Amino acid sequence: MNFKRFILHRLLLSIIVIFGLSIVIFCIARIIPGDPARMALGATATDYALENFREENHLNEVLPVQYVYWIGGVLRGDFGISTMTSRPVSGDIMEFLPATLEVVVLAALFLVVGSIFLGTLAAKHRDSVLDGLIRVFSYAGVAMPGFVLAILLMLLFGYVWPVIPVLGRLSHGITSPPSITGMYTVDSLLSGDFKTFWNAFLHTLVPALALCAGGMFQEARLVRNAMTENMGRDYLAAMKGYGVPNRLIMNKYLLKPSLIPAVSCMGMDIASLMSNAFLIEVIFGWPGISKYGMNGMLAKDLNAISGVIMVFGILFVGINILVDIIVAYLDPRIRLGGGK
Amino acid sequence: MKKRILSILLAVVMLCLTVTGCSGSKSGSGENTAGGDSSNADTAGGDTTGKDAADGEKILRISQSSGGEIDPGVITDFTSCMAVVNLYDSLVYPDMDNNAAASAAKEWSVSDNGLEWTFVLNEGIKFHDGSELQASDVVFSADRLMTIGEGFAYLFKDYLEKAEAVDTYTVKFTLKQSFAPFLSILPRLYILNEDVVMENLADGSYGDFGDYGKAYLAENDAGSGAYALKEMKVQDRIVMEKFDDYFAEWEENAPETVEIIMNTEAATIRTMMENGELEISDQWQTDEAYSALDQIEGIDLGNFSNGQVFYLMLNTKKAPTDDIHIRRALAYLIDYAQVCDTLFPGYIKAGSVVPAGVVGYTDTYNEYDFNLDKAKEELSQSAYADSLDSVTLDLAWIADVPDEEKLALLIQATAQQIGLNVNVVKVPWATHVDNVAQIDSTPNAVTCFVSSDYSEAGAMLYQRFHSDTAGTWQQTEWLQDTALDTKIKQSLTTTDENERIALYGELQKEALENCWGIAVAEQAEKHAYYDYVEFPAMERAAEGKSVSTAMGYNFLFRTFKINK
Repeated sequence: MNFKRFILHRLLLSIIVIFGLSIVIFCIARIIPGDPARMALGATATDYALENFREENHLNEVLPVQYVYWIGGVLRGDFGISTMTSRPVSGDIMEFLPATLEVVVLAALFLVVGSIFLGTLAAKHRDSVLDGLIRVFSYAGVAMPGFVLAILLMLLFGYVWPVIPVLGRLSHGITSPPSITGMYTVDSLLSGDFKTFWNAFLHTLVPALALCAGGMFQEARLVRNAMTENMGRDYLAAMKGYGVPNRLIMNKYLLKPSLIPAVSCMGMDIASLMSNAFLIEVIFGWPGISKYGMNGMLAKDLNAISGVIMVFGILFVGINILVDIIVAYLDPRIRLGGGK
Repeated sequence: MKKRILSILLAVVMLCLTVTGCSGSKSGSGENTAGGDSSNADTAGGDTTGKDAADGEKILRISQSSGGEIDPGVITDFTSCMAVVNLYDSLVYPDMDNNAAASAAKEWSVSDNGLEWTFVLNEGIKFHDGSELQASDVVFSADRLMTIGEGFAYLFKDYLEKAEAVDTYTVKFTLKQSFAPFLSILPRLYILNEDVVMENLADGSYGDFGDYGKAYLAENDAGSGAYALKEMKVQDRIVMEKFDDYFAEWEENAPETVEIIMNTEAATIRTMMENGELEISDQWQTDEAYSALDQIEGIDLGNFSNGQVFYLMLNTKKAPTDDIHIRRALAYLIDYAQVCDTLFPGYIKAGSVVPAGVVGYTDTYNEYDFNLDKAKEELSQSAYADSLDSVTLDLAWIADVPDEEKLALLIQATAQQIGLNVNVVKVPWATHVDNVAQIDSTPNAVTCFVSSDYSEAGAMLYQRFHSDTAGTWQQTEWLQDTALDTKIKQSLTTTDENERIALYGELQKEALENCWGIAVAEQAEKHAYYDYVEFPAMERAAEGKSVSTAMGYNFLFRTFKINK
């Protein structure tokens, strides 16, 4: 019961956060200097075209009225027309978001599995050569910006050891699967095309690795530190004394509480993968939403910027709710705190 | 414990071997099927494990900056022009000597007063859907361009009164006032298939015309060009394939498929070229990146002057550049030889404020060279001569083009030698566009590239110095001189070519004497490309011949050859 209330509470809070976000996004996009119509259509657009643009986008209205029009559209899934692509922003998002999600989901998987695996391994072999090696990789991973690693991986798999494709979403000659979700790996599996699935999966590997590396090594350190700290707890010594199998102690009674700090950070890191994907998308020629959003900013495409940030915001909030739920599951003190 | 570590290591090795083996098999499959669906929209030029396109496959892939669109009614940027000149036809097009050559129109005439232009179309030109291109399509395209008012409409808005179909194959344009370079701007009127556009209207603000086909034309073509659109992947790539029913001649070995890949990231471009997945690089790479590309076997470097002038624009309404002597001093402060030889290899010192090669260009009046003594002399004549210590000149460079900083720093260094304080400022492009909308926020000086809208000196003179463009990135001089405006308009409306050229000459002389802005150099458009590609503009430039100064027209892909 308390757990349900806890989730409901988080959901209600997130609605307020998203509403606040919509106001901030709208204001920032409108307050920046310059005539939006001129910015959108360029220095050479005729007066008629400019006026037409202002009318179409309600730019002649006062800001609160503009906001009502805008939020009304957003609630219907209509973010307006992108001046950069001349298409509805919602359509652009539907096209570019799945491509990014495909990489981000795999990167998130790598991040979670990799960090827990490496963290556990380091903790188990504390102060050994292996621990030292993981530590070196961790520091290097944290210190190295994602795009540098991306370039290094591209050089490695593009020149030195060309065993995994590094550019685009599919190989030359492979036809894209029928669009169902927009994620090629999923769509090809759904349509039973395993050749395309494998090809799409291979294309996702290197970008996902480049994207998750920093976070993965950072989280591995957190898991390792939490585990080594918890190893000395009395309750674990007692369990050992009672003859509880070592594997059970390790995986249930030591790992589970040790994950709490790492999971909180993982949530933020996974949510950040979306926005961090920009350089990865540019380097690996990946047609994703981060690249679209960044190009929108460079072109001052107000509708595209608002749409992309809104989607990122919703995803960010959603992931954080998920993390809160996982943390609450791992740590009963959190989910029971509201039901005193 | 050791056994566990060993087993983990073995598992990793097994995984690597699996991946290796599997990708190896894909490589084979990619090569075998390359002739099939060769233009998958999500393939970045192919698989790095699959190496280059199959031998004999006539594919040409070129990288360009993002933002390319394919609706002729809204485009003005380089990537879009490159696509549209291949997807659509116009009545005439600018040849490599920058003369108007026949295209959809086989002949034309102009009335004595210069107000009526009549064009007779070639019969039997097919649109990509197989229907015939007729005069009504030209009229529809002109009406659409003018009604939407975006893209290249600004070239026509002051002059074009109406377009009408005299008969099936004859179209007549009536002008509001005579406009001598009318033929030069006509290449920007791309002919759309009226039926296709009208069948694909969506809701919009153009009355009975809905959105005038904007949504449809953002992702589809309705043209008759040498190439038909195969796939438009917004912000990613434009894929075109040879249109077999094209009315004009093809070069033997012309590419059958062309991909414009919107990515200029240096590491990506290098990888793609190394792996034979890109035939021609974009022109936006740094010198270091070009040098690296040049090291790859089979890749050549080349450049040509494309009519884009690298300016140091000067705000004539803001101290201290409101003083003619300060502006002239700056012109003498620039080490043009160093700019062209060291900072921007391949660039050519500008001979005038308009690019060489356009009709009406003259280099007779350019007196400026690197001369510190003359710079000092000019400085001493300025109104600020006695208060130089308290004067600072803001020099902005565009952050999006890192190479521009080199020129800014060079000027700062030389200015220091004669006691002129120059403050170098880095400005993002979008901010710069906002800044130059007001005189006070327009910097004293800014580095900027400008290309001519069409191949006449009058085009650049209008773009750079007419009041219509004051407060835009094309003119940060803020001249706003009515007498000058009249002279520019007069030159553009003078139908006698010799007279017109003489007027262009006078305007260039005036611009240089008053030093409204400094034309530093003409850009060398540099590309790395595989030696099996015959690139017409490169070959002409190597022979010392002119190339097209109109954006996009050096990339008519049917004139390229893939010799492999």
